[in-house]
Amino acid sequence: MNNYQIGLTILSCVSVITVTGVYALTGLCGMFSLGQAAFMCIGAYGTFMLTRYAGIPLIPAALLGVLAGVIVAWVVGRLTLKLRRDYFALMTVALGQAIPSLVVVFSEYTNGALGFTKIPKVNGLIWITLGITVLVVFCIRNLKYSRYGRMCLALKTDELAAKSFGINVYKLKVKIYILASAIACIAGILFALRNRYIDNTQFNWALSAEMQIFLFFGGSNSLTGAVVSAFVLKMLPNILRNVQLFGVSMQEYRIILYCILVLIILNFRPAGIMGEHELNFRWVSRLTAKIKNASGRNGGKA
Amino acid sequence: MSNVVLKTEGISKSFGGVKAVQQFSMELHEHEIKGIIGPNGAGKTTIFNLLSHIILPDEGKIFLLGEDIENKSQEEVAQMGLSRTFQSIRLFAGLNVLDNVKVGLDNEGKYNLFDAMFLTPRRWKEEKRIHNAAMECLTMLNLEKYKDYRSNNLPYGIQRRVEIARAIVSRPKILLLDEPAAGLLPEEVFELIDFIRLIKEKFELSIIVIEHRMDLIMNLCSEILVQDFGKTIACGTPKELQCDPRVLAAYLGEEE
Amino acid sequence: MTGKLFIQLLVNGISIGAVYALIAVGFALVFSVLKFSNFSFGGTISACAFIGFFFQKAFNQPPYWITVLVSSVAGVLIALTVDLLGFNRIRKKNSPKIYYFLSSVVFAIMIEQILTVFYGTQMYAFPSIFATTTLQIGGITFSKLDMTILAIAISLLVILIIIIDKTKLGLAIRAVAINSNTSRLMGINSSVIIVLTFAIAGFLGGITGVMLGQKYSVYASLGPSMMLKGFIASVIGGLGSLGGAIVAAILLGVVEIFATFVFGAEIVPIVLFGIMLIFLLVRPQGIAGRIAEEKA
Repeated sequence: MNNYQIGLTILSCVSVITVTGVYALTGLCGMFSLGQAAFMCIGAYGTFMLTRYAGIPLIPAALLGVLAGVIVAWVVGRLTLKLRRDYFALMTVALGQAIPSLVVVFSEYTNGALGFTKIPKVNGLIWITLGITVLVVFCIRNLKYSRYGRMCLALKTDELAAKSFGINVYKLKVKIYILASAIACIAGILFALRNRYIDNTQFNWALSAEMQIFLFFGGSNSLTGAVVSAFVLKMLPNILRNVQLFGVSMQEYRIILYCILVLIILNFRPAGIMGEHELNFRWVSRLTAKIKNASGRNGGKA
Repeated sequence: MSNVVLKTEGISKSFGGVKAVQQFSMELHEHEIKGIIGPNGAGKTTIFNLLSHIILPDEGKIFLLGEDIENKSQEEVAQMGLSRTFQSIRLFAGLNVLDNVKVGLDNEGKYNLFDAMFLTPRRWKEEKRIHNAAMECLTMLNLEKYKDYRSNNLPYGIQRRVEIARAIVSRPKILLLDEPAAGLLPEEVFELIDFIRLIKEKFELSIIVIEHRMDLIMNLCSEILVQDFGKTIACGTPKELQCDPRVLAAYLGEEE
Repeated sequence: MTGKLFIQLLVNGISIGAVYALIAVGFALVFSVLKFSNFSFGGTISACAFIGFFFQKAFNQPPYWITVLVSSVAGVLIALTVDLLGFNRIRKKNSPKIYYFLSSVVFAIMIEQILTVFYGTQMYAFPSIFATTTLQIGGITFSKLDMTILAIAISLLVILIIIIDKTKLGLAIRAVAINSNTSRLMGINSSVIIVLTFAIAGFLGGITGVMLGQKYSVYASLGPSMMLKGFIASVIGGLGSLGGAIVAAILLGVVEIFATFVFGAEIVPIVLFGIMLIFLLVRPQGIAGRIAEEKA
């Protein structure tokens, strides 16, 4: 792989990580957040402010960066998740704008809109990123098939009924929000390490909205769908960047294209491409068996 | 006389100017099935919502297993051993029958978020326990053949039973059934009567049931409360109430 | 800070607050009828600002009211298109609320991106409308633009409140807001009322677009960033309450102008976020005191 391909793979993995977090939040719990990019911002700036100004090595700094995101998520979650869902959605939009402007306010340290470049170089970032991606997807997959996953799906469908089984809906939501935000922080750190440059405009609400679009494209009830669509939809426009339409490159109007796709999906197949299906081992083995059968039959005929 | 498991003392609730429940008092004994009947709008479901603390009473006290639940949340009341079903079926549409029943146990599952994500031995052990308990419950109620079905694809009568299974899997002390026979065919009602008797014996429950179907109430309940316009207008055994003019008046209108 | 400056800032704040009030009301109307936060409103505002801008340029300074009219009609058309393509089928299928959310977000992002692809991210200055841009009253200088915006916004709000409170249409909207199914049984055509509500919101969006464009110049993300202030106002005002939203929006405008004057413009989103947090902590039911609770 050349450098360009490596960079692109890392970017797509970052997209998979954030969308996996959003899956836990929106797909499992039905909470609609438009501020997950703010947590990427917190993670990235938190970590690299610490490495730059406090001289803390990368790994502890990254842990502290994630911790900062966890604290913010805890405060916001505690205040809004007791109220109806709309308050939470609006609050996350406001958060999504407040955090990047915090970067500008502290321009003295962050270099504001000019961008921050004092980010250490990490060798073999691709392997680290791939490892973290697999781990995050593995964890969220396990979460789905645990008592937490069932309780989340229960509260998503019917909060009142969920409460009547003793489930503390509010606490559970706060927990999942914190988890999703911590995942976004990790993604933010990897994103910064890949670009070795961050500025406030990268973490705008369009990025948060993009995550939701990826999620619903693949199917908000299917982790497999979310992961695949997050990877492919991030990768595809970069591969097709030389394709032009009306003299504008695909890179430019990819979001518009995705918006149209998602609208079609919303209107005609609201469950998303994958619906509720998950890729699991049973499914794979059944498929291989089918293929074997088919080839076996063909062999017999021949 | 056996123990009182649930007791209310003069609970009342108004919505705006409407007095939905007025001065409602009752005692539910261990292993008893009590019925609440009354015309539409008599405040029956409101009583259930008050008992399960979905809404809080304006006045009066509720004692669950001898403890005043004034400061308890809906979740805590559920955890104390009061379980209920809803008038319209509220199964979790995104989950299959087995998972729906497991939700009834999940809150007491003894493993944390970390165990869940990293598949620790504790997670496997607890999941196995939950699975076995849910399967045992389904088998006891002859529902095991439906375990992999999505709840919304099942016949109405089966959905009702799954909802009851989900409510009792955590072995509550008290079960509130809100119109369990609504929408069932006459022969299904008789099956349901046997079903409720069965779960009462097997799960050692005390049950309060709201119902319009007199055949079900008369067959099951040892004592019946008659509600009208938020007030208890009569109380007694099925035999006593069958010919009570007040009950007939509430149901059929005043006789001239 | 001198008294004169204080009054000037205050009037500025009230005038910008009045524009936020228009956004907040458009938002609150849709929220009360359909019970979801309509993010696409931000896209409508941006698009209308551009339409107003190009109209103004193309016809070489037509009378101001014509520009406003054109962009408000454009606003209605955009809102209706969004409803048709984004919400109509979802509503018919009775899908979960989250699809409304997503659909409205998709439209907001799509309109912003279309504008970005065609016009870039730079700002376009609206041609000035008044020969002299300031006005002297009692030794205090006011911007004519601010005063015009204030006058238009206040009169629109008054008309709107009269429509909602006094007319049959308003009654129907309020009925649908309480329960659309029951309203249908009472002989109200709920779907028509919902479409009309969208149209009213779009109309407000169109006017807001032109006025914000004049004040802050026209750019692709104008709507989404301004929309947030309308949202915050309606949260602080109490979701779904028109009176509360208006009061909150004007307060917000004043706070914003003073915060900008003292700390600079970058601090504004943080201050707004802080206000929202504090409000949810202290008084989640909002200024109007009606808590929007999810139905049991």
